[in-house]
Amino acid sequence: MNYFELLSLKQDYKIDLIDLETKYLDASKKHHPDFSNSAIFDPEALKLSAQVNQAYSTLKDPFQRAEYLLKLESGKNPEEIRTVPSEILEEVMDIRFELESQDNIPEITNQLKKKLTSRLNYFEERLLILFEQLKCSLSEHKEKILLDLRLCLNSSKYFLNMLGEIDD
Amino acid sequence: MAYSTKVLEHYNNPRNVGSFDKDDPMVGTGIVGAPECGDVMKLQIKVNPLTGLIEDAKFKTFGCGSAIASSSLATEWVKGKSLDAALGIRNTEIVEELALPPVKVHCSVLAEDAIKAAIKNLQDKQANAPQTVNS
Repeated sequence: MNYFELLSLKQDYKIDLIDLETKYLDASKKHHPDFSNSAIFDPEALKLSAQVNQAYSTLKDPFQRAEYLLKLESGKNPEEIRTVPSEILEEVMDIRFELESQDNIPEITNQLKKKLTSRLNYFEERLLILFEQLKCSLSEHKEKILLDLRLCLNSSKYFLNMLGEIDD
Repeated sequence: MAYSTKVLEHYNNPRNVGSFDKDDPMVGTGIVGAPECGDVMKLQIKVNPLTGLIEDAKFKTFGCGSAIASSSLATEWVKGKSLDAALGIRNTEIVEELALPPVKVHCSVLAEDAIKAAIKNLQDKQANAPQTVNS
């Protein structure tokens, strides 16, 4: 069972977060070992319950959800295509340089944070558009869209990393 | 995990850090990255128009010590080489020279990719450049 099935959700990038939470609570009640009728300890139920938690935390996050769904759709691991568009790398290099040369001045840190967040919002929107396109595309266009999704996720990783470093 | 002495040596005294003007027709720029670890590596070569040999190289890398050492070593190795000879540099040679552990092999792959990207960029530039006619 994949994460979407586990939480009785449609396999789609577009997700209603309130619905996700409701389904998650339902599924955890259903599979939680404490609610089991059986008096005997059931390792299977424990495993399933852990999977439900994992499914929720993966699907809740827009980038983890995209990564997970892309793997389902393409059958490929992320490491298979490591390409990042060179203009993105140039941009990352510039931001890295700014990050390094500023001495934790709050205004600059906040500015960089804003910049990174807005880039991540852009990537998230792009993921949504690409997954929508994937749903209604002809099979000969699928490969190209899957590749664009991969590139978009590869790019977003850099921005997530940098934002994580600032927040630390 | 400890870095090898050679990695540390390059890390503490990186060779050829910096950059050239990427619009210079004799300069090739390669920028590559590894999304899983967040490394970015830029390697530039400058070719002598008379000899066709790489006369200088520069790099800028954001990443771990092994990525910095691999790119530093790569700039040292390409200097004085022809483009073909530079294309022959293999990541396994970098692994060997720097004694990189298996988990850091991808840093040497990145350096090899950066050399190739820089050479390709230069060749693309030259192919698209207007021909100069000597009369």
